[in-house]
Amino acid sequence: MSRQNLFMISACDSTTVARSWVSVLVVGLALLLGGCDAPQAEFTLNLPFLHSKNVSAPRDQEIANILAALFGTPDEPYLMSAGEIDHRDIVDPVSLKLSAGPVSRDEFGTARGLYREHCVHCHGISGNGAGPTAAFLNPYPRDFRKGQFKFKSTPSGVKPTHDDLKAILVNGIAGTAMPSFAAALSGPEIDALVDYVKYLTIRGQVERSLCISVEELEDGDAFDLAAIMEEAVAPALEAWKIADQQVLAIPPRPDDFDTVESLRRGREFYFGVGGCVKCHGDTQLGDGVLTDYDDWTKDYKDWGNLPVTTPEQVKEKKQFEETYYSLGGLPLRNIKPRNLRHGIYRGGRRPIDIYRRVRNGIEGSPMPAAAMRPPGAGPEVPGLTESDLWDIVNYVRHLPYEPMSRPRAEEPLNDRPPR
Amino acid sequence: MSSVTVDHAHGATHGQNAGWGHFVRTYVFSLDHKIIGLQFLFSTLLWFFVGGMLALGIRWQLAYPWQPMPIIGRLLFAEQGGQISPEFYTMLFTMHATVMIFFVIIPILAGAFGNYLIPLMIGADDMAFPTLNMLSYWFMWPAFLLIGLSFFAPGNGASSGWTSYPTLSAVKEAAPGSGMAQTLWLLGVTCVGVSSMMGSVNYLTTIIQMRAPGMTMFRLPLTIWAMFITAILQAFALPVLTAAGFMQLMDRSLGTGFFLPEGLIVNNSAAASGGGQPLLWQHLFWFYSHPAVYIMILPAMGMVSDILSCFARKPIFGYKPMVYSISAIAGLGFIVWGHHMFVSGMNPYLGMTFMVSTMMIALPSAVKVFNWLGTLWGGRIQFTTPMLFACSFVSMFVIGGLSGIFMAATPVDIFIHDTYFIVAHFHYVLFAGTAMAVFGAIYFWYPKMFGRMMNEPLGKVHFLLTFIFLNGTFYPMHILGAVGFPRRLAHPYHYETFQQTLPLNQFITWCAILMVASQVIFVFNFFFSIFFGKPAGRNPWGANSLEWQAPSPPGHGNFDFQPIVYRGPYEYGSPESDTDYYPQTQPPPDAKEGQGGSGPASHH
Amino acid sequence: MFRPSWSWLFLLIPIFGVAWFVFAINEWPPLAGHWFPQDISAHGNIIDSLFNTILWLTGAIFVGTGIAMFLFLHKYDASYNADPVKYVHGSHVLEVVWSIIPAATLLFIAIYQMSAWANAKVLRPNQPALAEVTGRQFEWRIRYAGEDKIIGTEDDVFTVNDLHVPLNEDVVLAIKSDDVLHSFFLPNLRLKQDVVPGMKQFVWFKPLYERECDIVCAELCGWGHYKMKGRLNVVPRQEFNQWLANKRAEQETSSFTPPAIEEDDES
Repeated sequence: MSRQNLFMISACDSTTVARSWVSVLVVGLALLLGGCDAPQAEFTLNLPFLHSKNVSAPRDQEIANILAALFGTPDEPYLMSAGEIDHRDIVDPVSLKLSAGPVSRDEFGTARGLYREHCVHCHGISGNGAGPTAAFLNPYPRDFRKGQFKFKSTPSGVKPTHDDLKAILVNGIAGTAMPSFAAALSGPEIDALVDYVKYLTIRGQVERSLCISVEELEDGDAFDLAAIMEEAVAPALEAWKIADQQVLAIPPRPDDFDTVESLRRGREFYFGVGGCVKCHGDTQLGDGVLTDYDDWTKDYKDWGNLPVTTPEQVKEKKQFEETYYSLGGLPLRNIKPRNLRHGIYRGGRRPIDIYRRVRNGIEGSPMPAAAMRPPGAGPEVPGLTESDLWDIVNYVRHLPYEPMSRPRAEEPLNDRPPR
Repeated sequence: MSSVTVDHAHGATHGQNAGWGHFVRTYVFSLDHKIIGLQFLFSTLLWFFVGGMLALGIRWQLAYPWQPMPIIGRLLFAEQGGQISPEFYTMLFTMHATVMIFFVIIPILAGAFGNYLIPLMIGADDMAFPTLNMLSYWFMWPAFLLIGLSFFAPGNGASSGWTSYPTLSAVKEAAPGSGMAQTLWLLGVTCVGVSSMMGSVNYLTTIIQMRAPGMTMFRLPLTIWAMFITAILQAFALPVLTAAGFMQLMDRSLGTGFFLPEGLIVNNSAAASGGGQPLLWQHLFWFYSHPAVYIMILPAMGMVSDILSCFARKPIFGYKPMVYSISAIAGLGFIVWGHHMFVSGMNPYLGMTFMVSTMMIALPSAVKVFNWLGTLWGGRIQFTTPMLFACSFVSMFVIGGLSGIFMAATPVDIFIHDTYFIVAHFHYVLFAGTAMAVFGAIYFWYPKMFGRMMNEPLGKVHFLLTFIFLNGTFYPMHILGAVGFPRRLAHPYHYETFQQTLPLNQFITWCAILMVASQVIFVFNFFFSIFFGKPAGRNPWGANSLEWQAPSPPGHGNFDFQPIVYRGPYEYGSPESDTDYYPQTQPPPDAKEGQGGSGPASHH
Repeated sequence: MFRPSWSWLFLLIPIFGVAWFVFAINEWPPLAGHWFPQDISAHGNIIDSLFNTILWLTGAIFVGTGIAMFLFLHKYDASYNADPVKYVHGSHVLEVVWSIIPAATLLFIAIYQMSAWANAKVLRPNQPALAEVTGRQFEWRIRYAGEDKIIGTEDDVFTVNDLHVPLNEDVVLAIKSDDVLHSFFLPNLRLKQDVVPGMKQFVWFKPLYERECDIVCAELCGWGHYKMKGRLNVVPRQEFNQWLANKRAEQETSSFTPPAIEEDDES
């Protein structure tokens, strides 16, 4: 590499004319200009999870080695087929080529290293949601490695479809630091990034499986690669493959949607059987339960259920926290229910988007799926019907337009009357 | 030829009690204005290096966006493969400007040269308040420390721009650098303010009270006039910045709402207070910072006038118009701050007023340029290193001044505001102008400071390289500005409008790298000459003003005789004198020795 | 006759200084594409011509002072000039002349700008805002007034970073900010206005060409300032109405049938 050569030459010079000030400066300058040896980007281990599963040396190194063998490096990532699943059905190898590696352009001017150009400073090189910028964001960027996604057309526990992830890149997530990439990226580039997110998810989930399987290994036993392919990689791949089949169909909304009557019913469900009021609050300002955590935060420790009544317990929690931070965890932050009066809908403002949130819940957050009345049951059985859900959707969509939701009007300070 | 009859062996001869305490009193907590001046000089030159490195960081990102940044990438961003994060970029330009303005330009002009030259050039033995003077230097250290610490606070340093506009700067959650780093930044800038205030009070008193016999106000060298007016500017403008800084600190930590409007939600965190107005900060900030722009150029203009006249070997053209134009710039400087805010949302009628006053401030600057040209006309120009720097100051200041007219025109400013046209403009004034004048001044007064000459050939090579590369760096920025290329973007090339400018930006970056590299020659020359330079003698340039009649370097108390002033400082080529210069202290042929304060009327 | 002198260096300043601009204005390589972006607005040519006027004026002064400086440095270089220096301290007449002429010129420039400024920032067309553009870290949230032409009602249409405006019509936009200062910058329309939280402002323009172009944020708004990019689309009125109706329909999507699963993707 020419940069290294430059460095070597100037280093040699400095030994021969060591005592001269000038040559020291020249070396410094050469270092500065040549950039000498740019560090290689590397995947990092999921340390909080390793720690919570009591994985210690040398097992952590073994896990890192296996992951490197199965998935490559950030500069040269790859996927392998496992079980019945062809990896190319899940992630297009061309996508990996476009997304991974340092930011550059190839000889045709096609952008390479898209992930590092657009995503890495928040989501991190390993997709751990802890890039350099992450700590300053509220909410924190998504940690892909847990394999959970919030905004999708499929039920909780099922992966989102390709189009769901694509919609997030195109529209951004309102109310968060996730911007819309519609203007910045082309369609194929967005597809490539979605594929790379899948790759990071699969890698992260296999890493978790490996950590869990450490418990079953005797001291001195090696990991069984065939078993890993069968029991960790194949399911991780398959989960993405079957997502398309689990998309929730949404029946057309009833005709009396948008009536005062529908709004009244929606309000009733909000305060009653829907149970929304518990978290979103009497005022709909999202001021109900404010002390819960999301699943990504609970991954290391269920902070919400940690008892802190005695001084010892408080001290113990503090110790847990310090260990968590020392492993790279971001400062703990409660998850807050949405303020429904702002008119900001993170998962999208279309009626079907809100319907999905209500119907399926939001995976990874305390927002549960709606308690549906079993099909065929009579009105005596508690639960919601699909038309009830539409009333709730209607109500939620109307809230920002209620008079009390309106912000104080801005004063147009520099405005003149129109000509 | 000096009229001085008493000639001590030069050097700091007084005080024989050796030891640690003596060393500390003489060189660390010194009350001597010359030591304090040198302390300022060395500190600011050190920060000049830091600021230059920060600038290279900015340029690297603009030329090679998201490519591994040398050194920094390895130290801080190894996990990302050396690629910096976007907030790091915002920190780079914020701290580059902060360091260059508050730690380099302002203190090197007022602190280093003001301190060193004022007593010498007016014929005083020291400042009026030596202890205050010492404190003005030592108040820089808390500032150095606070801003230095800011680099290690979360976000790697303040990152809301050196203008620190709320609400980005006033809400802690708004930006990575708006937390502790911004608090440290505000405190640091306040300390710089305290230091400047102490300095300016001292300069005003010294210049008014301690001039040598015969040194009337209109016999002062223009350097001193510029320092005098600068001190007035500082004394009147700084309190506003200090107050604004404290208001922002209170918004940040005490829950006041001077700059925060109602119902603000930043980064999903609601501001604790409201009812304020972000534009208020801009008004207060620019009420200081526009005069500060002149604080950053007037002393340079003064020093350049002295150098030009000395090496053209002829009197400065239009001494009094020069003095009046310095004063006019300072006066008008207080009523033009709104031109930074034409598109800020300020009442557009105000824009019209400020446009007129801003256009008018170009006038005294133009007068100065014409007078400098008049000074060159009909001289016998000696192209010494300081002269080369001074000439380049004039021609670069013309560029910086003329480009200012574009942005003074409000409709044109709509398009070029916050583009690289602005960046080009203020770098032409502050780097190509002030920094070049400072280099010239260092080469010029170095013999006085250290008793030895700097190496001329090396100095000329340094000048040539700096001159070429600085124009290569900053001139194309005008062109970028015409494209609309905005400031402060970490990666502008994903905009269709700006993507074609990458090669030009790479050209600029390489010029900037080479320009910084050229400074190695200067550093080498500077330190080499301290030990091995040619001994200078009292008056190596054949100059008139008082400092050249003192020993090099002057001892404690400066003059080994009582300087009595008979004329202005620019009497080069006077028919009255045998030589082509005519020191201010040399009695006229018909005057009696020791006549005192009533020298002959000056030639104006 | 050439004689080596430092003065030549100073002659390079007007030469190179003019050359950069000549290359850029004429779009000659290597500076092709390095001048004003295409102007698609009705008022932009006024701003461009004001820029050019100032460019000519300042260019003349730049070249004049540059050449004067070169001539003086060249002629009076002490290496070649043995004449005694001109022992003068100034000239009243000259000072008066070179004060009054620039003063008059500058005042003229200032007054000459007033109407363009008034049209750009004071005299707003008397019509309701087409849309409200809200800057937030780090995107432009756009809210069209919808059919009732009132912003803030339930028929508003929401988009992100995607601003469509009708061709050949006066367009008024309300601009505001949710969080920090931003600046709404349309390079192709010569329009820039800082967006201040707590303050609702208006911008207006009349696009004359169909074109898609950039919306740039021109005021530092935090770490993601550089990525706060939007797109402006100028389309004919018909197309605009259609686009708005489509957006509205999409926003009201209220049923969803999952696409059929293709089983024959083995090939």
